Amino acid sequence: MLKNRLVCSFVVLFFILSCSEIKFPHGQRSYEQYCATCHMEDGSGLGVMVPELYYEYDELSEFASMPCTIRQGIYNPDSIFQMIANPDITPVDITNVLNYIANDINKLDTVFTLEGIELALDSCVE
Amino acid sequence: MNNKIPFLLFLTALITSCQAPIADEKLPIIGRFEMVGNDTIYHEIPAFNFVNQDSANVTNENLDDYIYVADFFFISCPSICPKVKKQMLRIYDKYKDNPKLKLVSHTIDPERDTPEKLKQYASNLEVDTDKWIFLTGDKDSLFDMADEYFIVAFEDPDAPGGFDHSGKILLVDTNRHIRSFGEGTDPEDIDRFLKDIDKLLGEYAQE
Repeated sequence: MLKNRLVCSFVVLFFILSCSEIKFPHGQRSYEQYCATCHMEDGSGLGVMVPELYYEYDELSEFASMPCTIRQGIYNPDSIFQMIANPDITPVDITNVLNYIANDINKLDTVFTLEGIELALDSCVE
Repeated sequence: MNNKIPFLLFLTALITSCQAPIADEKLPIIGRFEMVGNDTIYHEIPAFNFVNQDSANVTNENLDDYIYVADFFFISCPSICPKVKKQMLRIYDKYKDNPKLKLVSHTIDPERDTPEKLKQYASNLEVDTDKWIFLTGDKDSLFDMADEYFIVAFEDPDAPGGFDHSGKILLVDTNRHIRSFGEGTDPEDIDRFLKDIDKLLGEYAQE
């Protein structure tokens, strides 16, 4: 009897763990909507045209400019391929996307707050 | 007990009948075909004359000795193209050293995608343009060609980037017959497509 219960709890635990594999499912959804077309679902990018989104701990500072980049895109006259702007993406979506990139695509264990992202967006240079 | 044997046989037949064709069966020739007397005329990619990334002419004759993988795209494409190109890059990487296979990407936006732009695009993908050819040319011819490959492509101001097209990747043999195609936006479908390429290469290896 005790054994059965033990097995049962393990099964339940397994399901719970497997469901919470993605830490930021909303971020994943928004990432797939806004980013995955070019940066690919796994963040691997495309050649030198679309950079990969893989970061180490010591590169965390690169996230600072991302809220503005996501909203405004990047125009590089020397590049054949431009990052498009997403003027309508909400701060909540940006927060979720960056948390997904930092914690699910990369395993950086770093959570960005909505307040922090809004602050960063306020300082975007037009 | 003995009654069970016919039933089991029936069940086995049912299960095996659902399985994919056996491995050494040849790939089909795709497209409509006509019977002329005792001969079957299959759909084939018609003769063409386009311009590559180095502004040199490329005709069907340049590809006579090769099997090739074809797709249609445009550089400024904000929708499905990068995903399709990622899969083309996968195919390129796998067969980089196989002299029998080439890759051919056709632009459907010749006004913007000049040979110079295509060359830059290829160098951004870091690929060898002997192996992976980028073609541009007369717009109508390019759209007609897309038709021949059963790719839906048309200009549509409402579509992202101004063109609408499907992300299919096609496999063409040395007789200009289409032998397989894959959905370029679906990496799992390209897993299967890669097996079809191996199968077609196998046909030539036996010769």
